[in-house]
Amino acid sequence: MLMKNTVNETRKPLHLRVNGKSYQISVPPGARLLDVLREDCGLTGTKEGCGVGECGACTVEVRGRAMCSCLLFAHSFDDEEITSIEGMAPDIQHLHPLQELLIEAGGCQCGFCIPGMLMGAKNLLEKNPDPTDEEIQAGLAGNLCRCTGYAKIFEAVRNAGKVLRDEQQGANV
Amino acid sequence: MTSHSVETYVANPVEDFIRAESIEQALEVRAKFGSECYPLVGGTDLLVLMRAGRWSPRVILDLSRIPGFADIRQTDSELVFGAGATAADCLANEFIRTNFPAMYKSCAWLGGPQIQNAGSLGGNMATASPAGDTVPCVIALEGTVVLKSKRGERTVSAEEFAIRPRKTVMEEDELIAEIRVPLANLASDPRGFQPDAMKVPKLHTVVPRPPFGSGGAPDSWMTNDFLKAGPRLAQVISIVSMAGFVEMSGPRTVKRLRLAFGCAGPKTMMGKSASAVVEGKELTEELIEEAVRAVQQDITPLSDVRGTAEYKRMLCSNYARLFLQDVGGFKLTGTRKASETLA
Repeated sequence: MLMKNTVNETRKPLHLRVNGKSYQISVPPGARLLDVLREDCGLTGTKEGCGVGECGACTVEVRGRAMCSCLLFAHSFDDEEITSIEGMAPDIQHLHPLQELLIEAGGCQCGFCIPGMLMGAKNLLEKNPDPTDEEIQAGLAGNLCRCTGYAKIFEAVRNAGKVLRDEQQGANV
Repeated sequence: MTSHSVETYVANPVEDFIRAESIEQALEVRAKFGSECYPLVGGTDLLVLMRAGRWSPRVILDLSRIPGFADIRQTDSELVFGAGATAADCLANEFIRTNFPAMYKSCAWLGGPQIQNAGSLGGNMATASPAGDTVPCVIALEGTVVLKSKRGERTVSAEEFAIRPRKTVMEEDELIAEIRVPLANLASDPRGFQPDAMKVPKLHTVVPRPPFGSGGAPDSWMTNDFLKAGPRLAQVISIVSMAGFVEMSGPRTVKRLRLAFGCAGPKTMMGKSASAVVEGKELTEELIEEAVRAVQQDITPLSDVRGTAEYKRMLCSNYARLFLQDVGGFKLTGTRKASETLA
């Protein structure tokens, strides 16, 4: 079945909670989550790179898991919670340790992959707070960066893992 | 901020999006819209197709929120995957990690973590791509597909399920509800696994297992494994994949061998000739070479952007050799050149 060159004008109401904020909107039934976040919610931190789920620039967290928002339909998440890169830092004064340490390591060059990279790294450290180098490579295999060569990014993930583990230990004492 | 024109969104003619909250509701929708409705869990395949202008469903039926649809459980006789179980769900399952290394490995290198979190086993099966990595694993272990419709339920052998790319025996009003694998084929390998070596499994070789201990091999044992070739480890479509399952009656005597090859034909191809060579016999290096040559009779790979037919043929034989050498406890000789394999 070939796609017709017509665009359907139908819209369907949708309620999303993104980073704790409620959005009551109306978007086409086939709208991608990526477009809705960027265009309807005004959250342009989430980037479109390849649009086919290979580069990870559009990574967001839904249902507790990192996924490519270019491959998700917005209407799948009616009344659900979504975390995008804008929701990563706890508040405007404090960055997430991953963000802090990525800046420190110099892991950010052009920056286009970074929102997705950070969401991917957060997903990795939540599942495995003490990853080996090999596990970091595998855990970030879905995020492509064409500038850095990854060494500084991996360094930031290693360091952030340590900070998060220390925080966790501090909380447990 | 809802004043954007429709051009804002990737153009598509989808008329309705229905998120089913129960399997009964999903079957109603399926019965009503038939082939005009596209059922999905992750959607990792559909949006790529829509973007390329190769598919335009009228109605999208989202199954991802149906309670229990993603559960992985065990009955007395079967390991049951809900059709919505994702690759990430399989990776988090301890029984799969220890007893079904083929499935574990295929999920570990299926796309990247984001795709593993979204893509489902049911979707992989229904897409019926010869490159679907989890499919040969189910087929090699004699798995079945449970189809449901308003008319009732039926079970189809996974081997018979796909006909050709994107064409299956599923009727227009049916949905995949479950994928089942007999527990009898999932006894743990008595050589034991090294779980740490499985954290980031190597793709193009067998799971590292120690040899049998001083007690030697039991009279009856079985194992399974998965091998895949790609230009890099993650985020690639397989050039060739192979899931192997073997049941042994002695340290080196093969009772049953099932080799399922991905990307080696229009659907998953079974290495039946290789099975005929080794079944009932004791593995020797010569017998393995005979089986490796027999693999060639059962596969029909085509040349494409990912590799030439000759290269794929070579890989299939090399993977059969690696698997059988590991099973027999022989030295892994690794790959051979095409001229040696295909002669």
